[in-house]
Amino acid sequence: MRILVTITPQMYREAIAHYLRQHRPGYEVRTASPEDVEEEVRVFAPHLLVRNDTDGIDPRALTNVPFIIEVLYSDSMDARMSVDGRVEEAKDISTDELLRVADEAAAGMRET
Amino acid sequence: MTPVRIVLADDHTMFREGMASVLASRGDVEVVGQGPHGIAAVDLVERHKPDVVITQVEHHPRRAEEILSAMRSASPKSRIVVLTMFDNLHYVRTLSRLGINAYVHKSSSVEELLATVSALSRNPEGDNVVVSMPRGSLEQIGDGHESALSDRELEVLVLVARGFSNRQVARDLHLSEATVKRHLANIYEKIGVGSRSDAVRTALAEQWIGFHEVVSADSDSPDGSGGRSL
Repeated sequence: MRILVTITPQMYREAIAHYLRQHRPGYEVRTASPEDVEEEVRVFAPHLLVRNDTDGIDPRALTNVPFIIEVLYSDSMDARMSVDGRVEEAKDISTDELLRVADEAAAGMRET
Repeated sequence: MTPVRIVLADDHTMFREGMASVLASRGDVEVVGQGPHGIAAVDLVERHKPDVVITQVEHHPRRAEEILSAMRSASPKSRIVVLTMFDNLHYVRTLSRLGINAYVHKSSSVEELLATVSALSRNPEGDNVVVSMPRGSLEQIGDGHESALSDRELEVLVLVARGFSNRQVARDLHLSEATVKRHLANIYEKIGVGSRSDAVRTALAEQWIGFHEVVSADSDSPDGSGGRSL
């Protein structure tokens, strides 16, 4: 299970990655700044991407990422979660929600 | 060794919980309370009287003053670490006058935040302010117009940059419209421009006021709309 965290600013990105590593030590978690995302997506091929909607990433670069959590900085920090083709919205996403999506992504990955 | 007791205040639950997890992973730190920032955080500070408060601040200086002063009164001995996206020296200076102990820009690393907490807790009587902010912002330290503008003039400029009319600026700052016009005339003269748009453009370009300070959505917006900011 591979997770890429590209949230800005850096402090938030590192805190989220730390939380994932601590609570799901079996998952491989990497961080990347927005300017390196397209390259990381290509090389690391994450199953889950945690990003914000103002990062300027070309959506075409993400078509092969099956699970995405997108924090909506442009809209009061709510979050949109693309979970295997299904889109969910969350008001103020918590770490529980983050782990739930990560676990769903892991389960989805095992099934394929 | 007694752990450093910390209250953590940030509006964004996932980030806050992640940050709490980072802090708690250090054996010498205990997160005794966490919640949204603002006045709600003052209650946490009052209740726990922590050694260190780490709080998001994304407000207009007057609102920040209200919250930080309340925290200071609730727990005078707590060391206050401000986390912010504001990256201009005017804001650093303003918050320093409010008695904060550290100003950490959110582009800093988690390690830098931990080092700040460690530095403050090892020297609880120290009076220096720890500042971690982008190099580019520090390099903008000027010796000219920014220091020539008064705090009130910078406040007026921020509101003008937000699209406030003179009347709205006057209402927001509890001034007369004539006083606002006089402040603007002084600003134009001091920085050598002839219009409000030139004044705003210059102030933003020179980082006398910060972009986040201008776009921050709080109760000071002209339409009174609320909202959270980074």
